[in-house]
Amino acid sequence: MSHRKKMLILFGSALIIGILGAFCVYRFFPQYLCYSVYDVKEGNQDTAVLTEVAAGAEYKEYFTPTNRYLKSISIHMGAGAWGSEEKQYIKATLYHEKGRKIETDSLLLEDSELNRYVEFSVEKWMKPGEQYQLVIEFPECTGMYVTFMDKEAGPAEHIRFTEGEKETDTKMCFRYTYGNFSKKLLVVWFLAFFAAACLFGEYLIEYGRKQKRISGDNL
Amino acid sequence: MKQTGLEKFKNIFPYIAAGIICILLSIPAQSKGVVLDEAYSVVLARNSVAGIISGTAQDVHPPLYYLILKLASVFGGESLLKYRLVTVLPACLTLIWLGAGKIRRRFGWKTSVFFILWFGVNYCTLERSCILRMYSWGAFFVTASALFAFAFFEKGKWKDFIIAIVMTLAAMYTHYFAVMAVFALWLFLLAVTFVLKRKESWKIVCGGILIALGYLPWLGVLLRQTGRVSQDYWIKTFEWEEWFRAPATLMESSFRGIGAVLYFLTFVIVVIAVLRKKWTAVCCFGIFAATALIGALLSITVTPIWQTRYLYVAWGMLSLGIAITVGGAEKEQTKKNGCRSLFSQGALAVIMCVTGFYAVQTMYRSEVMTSTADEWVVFLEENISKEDCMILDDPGEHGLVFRYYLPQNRIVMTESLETMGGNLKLSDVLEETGKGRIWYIVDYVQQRLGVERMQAALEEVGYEMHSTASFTIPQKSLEIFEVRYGDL
Repeated sequence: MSHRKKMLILFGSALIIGILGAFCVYRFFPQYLCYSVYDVKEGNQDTAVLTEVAAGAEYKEYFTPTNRYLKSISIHMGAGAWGSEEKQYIKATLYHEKGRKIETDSLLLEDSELNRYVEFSVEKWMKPGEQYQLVIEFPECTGMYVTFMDKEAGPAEHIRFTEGEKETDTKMCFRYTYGNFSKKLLVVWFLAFFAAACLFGEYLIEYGRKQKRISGDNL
Repeated sequence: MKQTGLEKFKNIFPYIAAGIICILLSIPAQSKGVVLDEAYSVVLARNSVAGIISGTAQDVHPPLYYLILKLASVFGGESLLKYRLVTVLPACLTLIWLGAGKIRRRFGWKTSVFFILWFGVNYCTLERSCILRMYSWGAFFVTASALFAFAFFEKGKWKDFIIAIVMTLAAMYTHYFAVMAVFALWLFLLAVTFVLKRKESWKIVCGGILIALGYLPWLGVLLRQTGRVSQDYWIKTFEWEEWFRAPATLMESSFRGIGAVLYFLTFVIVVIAVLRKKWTAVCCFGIFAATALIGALLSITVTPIWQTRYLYVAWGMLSLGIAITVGGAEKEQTKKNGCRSLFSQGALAVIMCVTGFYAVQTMYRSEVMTSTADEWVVFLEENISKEDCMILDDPGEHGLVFRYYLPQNRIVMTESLETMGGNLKLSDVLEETGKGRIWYIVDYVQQRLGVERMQAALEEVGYEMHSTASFTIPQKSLEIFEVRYGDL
């Protein structure tokens, strides 16, 4: 095969791998593409009240995302009262309405860090209009305070909120942070995969030539 | 033999690329804004040589960078512009002398260009070259040590051996992460020499002994500093995730996500270097990785000392490894097996140009270039005399920043006033000023007392304050009030 043909095949293959690589990043690793914050939705906190959560408590928020890429969901927590040295952890798991687990995140918190929104990372493509469920667990928590508000206080994502399986009149203060992907960065990822494919292709061509030369010498 | 046009281009182009990047690196030098670490460097350099050495012995860094600043101040006195240019100088030496010079002659012009691009256009170089700290000098000394050590291994010239030792010692006296980098370098060199040129190993061992002897005067200080740091240090925790992401963090700029792309490419290039048996490149990657690993191990076993920016001292090694793998040595091009297409090099060159564009944009939009530090300096020159007293509402250690701008004025931190639990009476401070004026400067980014409490405290003793000006200097948002005895 002539050198020109090899280079054409190399170029074509690298183009395809570049496109596939960029698609993989877009589809499966969007956190390396979606850095900018597109929108933040949170409810009206006029009715907000701090409530101590019991150890072992489990809460569920049913919601519908209003944008495609969800970076994180946050809940507002008051100042902790369990002592500054110890860290406690809370866990959040995101499910699709059909039961498929989408993401899980745990946070290890010091009480001195609180009195703010604590963020559970999602970094996933969502389907606006479909229902999702966020399960928040407080496994062994003592002295942990979460801000609750009226269930009608928004944001638009909210459907219903339960403690265990029992629906409540109040809900946690949720903040939904949506992201947007960068087309420029997608192009750079394409170039990176293209360059990587070219480098591997060049290595394979070199290796092939070497093997040919060795077998030629042996003959 | 007369050079063809193409050969002339191959020889000149690296210098042009390096020259353009050096100009871009130098422009932030005109910034008059100074942050805490920079103020520390400048104030320390005001001491005598003995004072600098004893001052750094009390701190946690070696003294060479501060001595370089001191040497610069001998010619024409203290000047922020001169200090910044002295800090940019090693980056320029790395790009021009090492990159366009040594690397081009040894590895070829393409390797030279890729080294210049990867080293010069990533945001970490722009950032580390304009801040008055020792990282750019550390990176230069480590890279130079490696190049001369490699040259000695290949050709056995004693000139290269001596320069390698001198550069190694210079690196060790610049930053402790540079100590880790050159330690890894000489260890790799010993291992490779033992395997490939066993009879020459004694030269490397002698080199190590000479380096150890050269570092002996500072070794005691290092051990004392280690003891002090192991008991109490400002870096509180070490996280493997932060450590693993360090190269991506170094390459990140306002074009968010570019660090992850370049990190992915770095991994690919390391694999290619191993597959292609580019052992020099693998050695360079090994030195970079070993520096990071030693830093991590010390952070776990002794005390957390890891800061991503410290890894910058080994940046030249990563850049060299990438350049050798991607650029390809000239000799290789003529070999029958060799295959280099312009596709990979072209794609990488485009990526580096994009990286460089956003790195420069990030720098030019940063606080360094957009603050009102120039106006702040003019205000100080026009309004503040030596007898004036400055009451600063900022954390105590930040008084050093104002000590840089106002070396001869009395500076009182609000934290030291009785109002905040200190032992100084406000009335005494005000009366002791005498003929000089009194100024209250609040930093809204991290004020301690606050304007209202200060106003109340002044009114209690019969004084009032009037807002005069506001400035934004790097990491500070300042408002300046003149304090006068008022008719209340």
